[in-house]
Amino acid sequence: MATKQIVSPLPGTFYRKPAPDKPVYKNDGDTVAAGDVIGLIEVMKSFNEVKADAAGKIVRFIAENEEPVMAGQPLAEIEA
Amino acid sequence: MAIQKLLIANRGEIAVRIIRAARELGIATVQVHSKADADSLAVKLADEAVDIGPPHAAKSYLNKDAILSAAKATGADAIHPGYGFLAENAEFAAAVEAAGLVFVGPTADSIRLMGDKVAAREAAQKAGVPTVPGSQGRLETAEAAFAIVEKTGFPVMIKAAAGGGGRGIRVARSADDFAQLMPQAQAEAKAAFGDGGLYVEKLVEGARHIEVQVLGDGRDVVHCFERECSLQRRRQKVWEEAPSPSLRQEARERICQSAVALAKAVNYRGAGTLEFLFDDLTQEFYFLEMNTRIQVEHPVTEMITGIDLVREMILIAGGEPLRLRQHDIKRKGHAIEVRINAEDPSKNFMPHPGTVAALGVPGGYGVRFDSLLYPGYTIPPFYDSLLGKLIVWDEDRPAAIRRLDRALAELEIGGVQTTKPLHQALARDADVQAGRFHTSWLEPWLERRATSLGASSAAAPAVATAPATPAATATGGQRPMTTRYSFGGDEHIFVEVDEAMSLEAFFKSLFITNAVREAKIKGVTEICPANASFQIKYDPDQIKPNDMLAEVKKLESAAEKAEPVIKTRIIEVPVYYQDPWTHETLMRFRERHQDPKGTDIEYAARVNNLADPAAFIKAHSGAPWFVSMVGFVAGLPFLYQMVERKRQLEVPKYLRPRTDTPKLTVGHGGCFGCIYSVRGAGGYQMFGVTPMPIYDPSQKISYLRDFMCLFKPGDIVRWKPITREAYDQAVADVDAGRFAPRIANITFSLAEFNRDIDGYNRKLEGALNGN
Repeated sequence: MATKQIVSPLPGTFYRKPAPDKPVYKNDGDTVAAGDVIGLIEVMKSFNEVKADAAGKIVRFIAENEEPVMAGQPLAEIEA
Repeated sequence: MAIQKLLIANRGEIAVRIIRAARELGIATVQVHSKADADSLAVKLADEAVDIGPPHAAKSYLNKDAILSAAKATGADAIHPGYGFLAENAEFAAAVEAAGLVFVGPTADSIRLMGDKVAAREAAQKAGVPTVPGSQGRLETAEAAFAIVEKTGFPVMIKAAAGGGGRGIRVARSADDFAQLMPQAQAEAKAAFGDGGLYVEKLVEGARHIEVQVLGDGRDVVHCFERECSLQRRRQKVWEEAPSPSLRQEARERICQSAVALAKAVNYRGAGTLEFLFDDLTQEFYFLEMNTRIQVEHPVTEMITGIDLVREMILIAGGEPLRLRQHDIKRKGHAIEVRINAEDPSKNFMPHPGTVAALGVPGGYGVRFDSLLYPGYTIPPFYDSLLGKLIVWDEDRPAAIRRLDRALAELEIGGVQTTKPLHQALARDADVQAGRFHTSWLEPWLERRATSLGASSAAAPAVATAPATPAATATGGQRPMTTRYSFGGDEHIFVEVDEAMSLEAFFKSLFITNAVREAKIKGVTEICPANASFQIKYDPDQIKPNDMLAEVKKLESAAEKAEPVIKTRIIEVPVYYQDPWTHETLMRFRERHQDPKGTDIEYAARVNNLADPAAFIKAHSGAPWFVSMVGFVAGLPFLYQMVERKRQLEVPKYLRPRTDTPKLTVGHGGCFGCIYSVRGAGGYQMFGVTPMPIYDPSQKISYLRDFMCLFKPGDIVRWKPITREAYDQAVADVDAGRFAPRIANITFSLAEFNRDIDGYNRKLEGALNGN
């Protein structure tokens, strides 16, 4: 089985939840469909959704909630 | 006790501003910063710097304990909070004072009082300052509501007490309206929120935002006149100025006196701003809220009064009484500030952090640039997008706007998209120049111009939808062109030959790209001319970016000396104007058009002062058009009418773009014509269709066998109006492989063209008949 990474499209802060008091979008081990939101990147106070580009199973999140990330940095690993 | 060492609990341009003021007062500075700001300009300028935590503001700039520890460790005796972050946090102000330090701002009690909307409104009323008329609290009965509107007059807003965020708001414009809406609103509020309580408040339509700057020392208060900040997007100020262009002297005195009365009533200390809604028709104003801190737009007040507000607030915090009496404070001239944000105005203001490749800072008399930038600085993505503020002063408002436009042209922030094009368009807008705007003015204006505010690239044609500017109306090369170069990564050079489209600029760009092609420079992989600009793609392994740039500059100076003559083609394009297919489409999207009751061509005739569609067709097909660029979608030619700038047809684009346009539609937006090479979305006006395909990726059509696109930049188009019969015949001929476009090879001389435009055009068209 091939694993691939979902990378951050933008530099900014990575969030795994839609709001601080909400549950995370996805957990390690969850299955995702292409287009599912797995997190948010906050860049200069605007929020951008990060979506899975293919269906599969999330092996693990590499970036932590509220972690500063650079563009191209891996956020999660997916098993297709 | 004068301050000896000041800690700045903020970042960005305001931190730089505070460090400068402190240094001039002989005060040492400590800059606290997050890990992401270690190489910020403020850190470089300050005497000392302390890392207070991770990039996330909650863990650094909002971390009160970390900031207080940094103050203790460095021996700072005062903290300046700037704006935002902890500037209006009463607990922080109290904690600073409890730690035995000076808080550069008002007391914690003042912050608390003014931060509570209801308490602030009550304080205003007690001080005799007008607030938006309406009910003091919730209204339970219809009788009580009627008693209120008798006093406020109409229109009024009816708001659900339990609603919020705009929900449950109704507008009543008359007593009849009100009688009908009130019970409805009550029933709805009860159903939606389980609470039928309502508020009623006067609706001030087309209101402006005016604010008054005050300085206080806890005993006395003076005002430094007003600022107007009505140009806002999503409640964020975009352009601020002083004095207000809409406030009459008598109202100015009243509003400033009100501000002083309220600030005195709360024993205000430091610099503060009282915000008002202002109705320019009645010259009435209503207190909204007070900001208990220095504001982003404070420089415009400094420029018209000559008072350094940040210096004054530091002196006051150090215990000095106000140095200024009201009669010492005079205003002179006009100042404007525009916010330069790292946002792309052509892409819905998408944030654009990045590295500052080059920095050109405007200068000259009456120009000031307060920013966080230096060349090579990487703008972090974690904070707001304000990069700096360009502030200009001149003797009156029209002169200040001209100076702003001049200074914006000098401002260059390479490598980052900014709001500079927005401000250039605003400075050239007739309504802005006349001061005709209010707080809801900018957003619809932006919607109409969504894509035309790009700095460059594929969206460039729409730049022409901006109204004619002094630059755009100049022709014949009286005005020197200013060429700009920028790198796109290490594979592209983008060159803007001039700021505005003109035949001269187009020619120059065509010349340089032809020269680049002929020079056969090793490593060049693609050459793309576009209107008044061009882009060159190259392989950085074969030629270094700086060497490529040097080559282009060399060819550019050669192009300037060359006689502007090109060998090109004139192509006849048959057009069936006012055809049924574009008509069907334009009717389908009518609600997106400026004139929902008419057709595109009727509207185009009217805005060009032509009697009717027939007169418009005559003007449209009466002169040839240059293909200034091919692209946007494959094979689509952008066309520039070959007449003097003032005679060119100009039609704005649709208010909102369509999702459909028939293939081969002859369109128009701004001063550019086009032919839609394929079916698809579009925002240009639609005048007709051509039967002649101009793009064929299968390369089966006889005249598109060698290359799938008919047009290339530099081609000249001659429209030929045709009837339905001729259209049908041409379509049949195309299908049968019999159709051959009428094309003639010609030589075009810009100098000869400029000597006798109409005569030269007739000569060009004659070539189609073998003359």
